[in-house]
Amino acid sequence: MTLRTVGQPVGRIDGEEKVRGEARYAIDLKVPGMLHGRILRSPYPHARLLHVDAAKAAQLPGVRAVLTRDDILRGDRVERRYGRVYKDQSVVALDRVRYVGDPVAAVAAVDRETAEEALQLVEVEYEELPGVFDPVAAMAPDAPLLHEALGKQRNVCSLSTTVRGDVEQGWRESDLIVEETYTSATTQHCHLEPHGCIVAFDPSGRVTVWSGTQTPYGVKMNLAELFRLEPERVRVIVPYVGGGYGAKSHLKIEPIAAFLAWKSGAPVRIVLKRQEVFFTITKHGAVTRMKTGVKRDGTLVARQVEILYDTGAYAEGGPLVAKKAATLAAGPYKLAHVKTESYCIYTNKPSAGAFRGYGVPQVALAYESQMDRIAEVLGMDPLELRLKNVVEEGSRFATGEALHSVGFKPLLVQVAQAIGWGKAEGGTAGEKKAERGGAGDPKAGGTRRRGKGLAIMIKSSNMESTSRCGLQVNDDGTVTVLTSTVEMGQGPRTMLAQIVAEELALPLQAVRVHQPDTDVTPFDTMTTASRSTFFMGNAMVRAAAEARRQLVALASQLLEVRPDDLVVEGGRVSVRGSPDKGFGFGDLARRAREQGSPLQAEGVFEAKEPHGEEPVSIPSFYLVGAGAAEVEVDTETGQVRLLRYVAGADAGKALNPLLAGGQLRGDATIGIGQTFFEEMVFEGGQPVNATFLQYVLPSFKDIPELFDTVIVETPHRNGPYGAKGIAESTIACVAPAVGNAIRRAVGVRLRDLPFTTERVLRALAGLQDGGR
Amino acid sequence: MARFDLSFPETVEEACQALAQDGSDGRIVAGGVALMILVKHGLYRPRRLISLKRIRGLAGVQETEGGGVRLGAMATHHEVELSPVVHRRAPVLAEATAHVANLRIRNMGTLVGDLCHADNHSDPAPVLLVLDARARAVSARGSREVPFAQFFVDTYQTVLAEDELLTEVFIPPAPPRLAGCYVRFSGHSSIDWPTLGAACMLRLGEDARVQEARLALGSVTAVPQRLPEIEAMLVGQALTADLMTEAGRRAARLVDPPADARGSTWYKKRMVEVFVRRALEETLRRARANGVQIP
Ligand SMILES: Cc1cc2nc3c(=O)[nH]c(=O)nc-3n(C[C@H](O)[C@H](O)[C@H](O)COP(=O)(O)OP(=O)(O)OC[C@H]3O[C@@H](n4cnc5c(N)ncnc54)[C@H](O)[C@@H]3O)c2cc1C
Repeated sequence: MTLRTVGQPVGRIDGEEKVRGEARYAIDLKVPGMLHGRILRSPYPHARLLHVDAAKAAQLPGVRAVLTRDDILRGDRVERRYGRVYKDQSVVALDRVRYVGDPVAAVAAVDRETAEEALQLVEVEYEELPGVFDPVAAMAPDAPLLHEALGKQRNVCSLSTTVRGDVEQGWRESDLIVEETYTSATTQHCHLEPHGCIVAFDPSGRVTVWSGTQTPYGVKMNLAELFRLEPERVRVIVPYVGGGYGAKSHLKIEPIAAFLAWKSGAPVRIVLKRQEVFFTITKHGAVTRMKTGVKRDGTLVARQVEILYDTGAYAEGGPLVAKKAATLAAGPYKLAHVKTESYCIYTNKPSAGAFRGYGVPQVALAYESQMDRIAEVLGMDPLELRLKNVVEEGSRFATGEALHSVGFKPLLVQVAQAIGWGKAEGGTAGEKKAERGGAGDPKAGGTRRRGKGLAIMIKSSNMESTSRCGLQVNDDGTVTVLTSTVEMGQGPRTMLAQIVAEELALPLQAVRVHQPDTDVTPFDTMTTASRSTFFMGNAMVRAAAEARRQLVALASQLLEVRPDDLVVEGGRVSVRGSPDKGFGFGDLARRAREQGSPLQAEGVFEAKEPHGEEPVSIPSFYLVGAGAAEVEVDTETGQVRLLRYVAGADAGKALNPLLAGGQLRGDATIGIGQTFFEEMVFEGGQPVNATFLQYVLPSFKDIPELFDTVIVETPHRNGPYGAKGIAESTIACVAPAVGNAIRRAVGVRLRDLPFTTERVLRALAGLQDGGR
Repeated sequence: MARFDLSFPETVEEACQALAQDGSDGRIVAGGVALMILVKHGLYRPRRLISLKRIRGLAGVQETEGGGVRLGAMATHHEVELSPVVHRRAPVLAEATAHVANLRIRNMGTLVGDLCHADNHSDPAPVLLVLDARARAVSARGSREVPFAQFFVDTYQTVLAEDELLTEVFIPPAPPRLAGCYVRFSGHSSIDWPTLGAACMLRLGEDARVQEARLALGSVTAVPQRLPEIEAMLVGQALTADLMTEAGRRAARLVDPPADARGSTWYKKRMVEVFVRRALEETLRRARANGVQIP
């Protein structure tokens, strides 16, 4: 089959609307009569709530509702506790606050200023408690506990393990054992649009939520449960979302807005300030201990990993991140013996949850740095070592599952080629000197050294999830697509329109994608885990095939021609060889409606999680990624310039190479920020850089001028056209690729993210990092 | 955001009058880049803002008689960066302003606003020190000139009184054969404020000895500073590699930078050592390129 639209680098269908500033996001929305909600937050990282009194705030003119713990403890509107994994969270704090920023009370008023003023009038008395701020200290036997009432010992929120073979036997079989510890900083997603929502309760008891969420159905279900409502009473509408990266999944600010809306009887809008976004959700900081056993010839034998994810004050999605990481922590290598233990540890910091890469960047840093370490000790080429051990089609993964569509070998080879692997590096070669001048030249100070580094990573998508979609043919011959997949810049509207255009032989412009609205668009598990192309894409192929079948069947009936003799082309169904004999889609749509069976089609796609080696009919897919870096290190300042970066993935099939390339670059760009600068800094639990004034993000100038992408295509047997997701393939590769390149440039190994200039210089000076 | 009054005087006199009347309630706003961030973050609650936008006389960059430069209070970083006068008469200033943040900030923010805001990470401030530049401060009470060497009192604090307006910056004509440079180091994102800025101007004799040296550091101390001890050690000497290295070492001993997000005291001292030396090296390179014969 030759494809016409799918596989083409078409521009995004909503690009013009966005560039013109016409696209509407949650923070742009207004509803008549709406109030503005603001949240009072704890100034202490850990404290008992002795007294909360909002009487004065309630009396301020313009205030329509206040929310304190009394509303939750005395009333029965909401469940006291909620949480996706553990019910350890409440709409506002009940007895204790557990991080700076923990919601204590909220106000809805006629405008933001009044709400802000009212917050000052809420009287709160705290009794400070000792806190814990890093996961290692939090596990100490005498550390203060955050959730002892839940029976959480040593602040362990969750523990997930993966075992394959027997690592003890593995150590015995190994010639060399390497053991190291790597750390990653807590960071924030920094999506451009802050969290924003409007919630309205109507008199009949229905709730409408407009929210910039990645999970419309998640918000619907969770909010219904929290407010003890039938799910059908909750409607969630999602406009464009200005970036999510995991930060906008499941309940975030919706519960507070909903409570204020219920209490005031008016719609309530909450849009967070940037600082509050930093309080709402973070990416896990982590300590990863990794031990690897290897044979003299480079064959990996065994790997043991212990990861402590700093999950902050509440479980949120943390245990799910840690659970997934437990299956992935040994990396994409053939290993007979694997043991991973992945902990989520409570600390008095904002909660950590889903973030692009979902726990993998923290472990990939360790396993890919360690691969280079092993190569070095064995005197092997790091590329060769990886090619020797990397998984391929049919390899058994740590989970026992037989892997499919994992084109690591061609990807590695191409990415290495793109960075010029094996060619001169290290700032000593004459070639380099000629190329850039100055490098390694003693007259110019001779302080710059170059090196190249490689890294790969593997990540699974949602292993068990469902996508449904609808499609209808309109009277004007266009097609409307009903999908709950959220457009947050990653391009699914374009991808889905391409699929429909392909299947129905329509121009892209004839396909309109409806915004997610749980009253209208069918169920979809969520827009996360790079899953939409695979899951919703598949559902869409099925819906479009069904629509095509209906169009052809009706035309066949009207024309009295066998379906096989009909062709679908240019928005018409006509008799093969005589294009004039046929009907336009619009005509067919009208006739179908008149006949009482409108042209509507549904598509469903569902995948099941494999358990051990037991095969399942439709497993999900793995993201396969690689990265290569060339750096130049200034040995006097510790500054690392990223001269060139190559981001690569196995896309199965790139449905839109333009958008796919954008995803690879965007993903790697976030990785660049996290490699060099990003870190949420806390002093005694107080965040010190939780605004864009202080928190450093990469700018275009920090992105290398030479920034290439490599896409290989190992078709997935269950993917639409062979495609699978790619949007988290490269982020995890950046730090280890850069770390490996630094090592090759100047001989130091960095194990703690971010790789600040000072850390590089201290490593060079052979000093301990104790001067901060 | 809180409500405030915004007025648009059309002359310097009107602006001064407004400042005198409003007392501590009044504040000048030029480009608004620095000020509005403080307002948005609730760090400053304005009551009366006095905009300089409509005062004609404050615009632009001019060459004065004798080859000096006059920069009006409303000259933006970008105007300074592109000005042919600045390129001719004080190229190092153009070099420094080109480093400020990004084009959007440079298009809105004024050089004078940057100096009055007195963040110690200012890029242009150390350059104005080595240019021996002066500020003109005007108020309803009169007018005075303040050399930039005395302008900065502390981080975010200048000698300007509440009722004073900085109308212009004057850069005196440079003596012939003065070469210079501004080197800047940002360990964070390259568009971030600097970790350190070093400005250098040297006059080299035919014998390659230093006849005059001016060196200043920005960002590493509470206010940008000249380094008179280092300047003195250079004068009369041939600028050898050893001398430049020694100058860097001594400069690092003279400063005591506070530890912050841009690095520890140890690290910043190291950067002072490196960048004082590099500023000298770069100035020497330029002096050579400009035809100074150095053996
Ligand atoms: C993201 C960002 C990055 C930045 N990076 C850099 C950088 O890398 N290097 C650098 O040097 N700077 C940097 N800056 C600072 C920027 O250069 C200044 O904020 C800007 O130039 C201020 O000028 P303005 O005209 O906007 O001043 P305004 O915001 O209008 O005023 C600033 C202050 O000066 C006072 N003021 C202004 N004009 C006068 C006057 N004529 N007389 C008396 N008082 C006056 C105001 O009352 C106010 O207190 C950065 C700023 C931002 C926001």
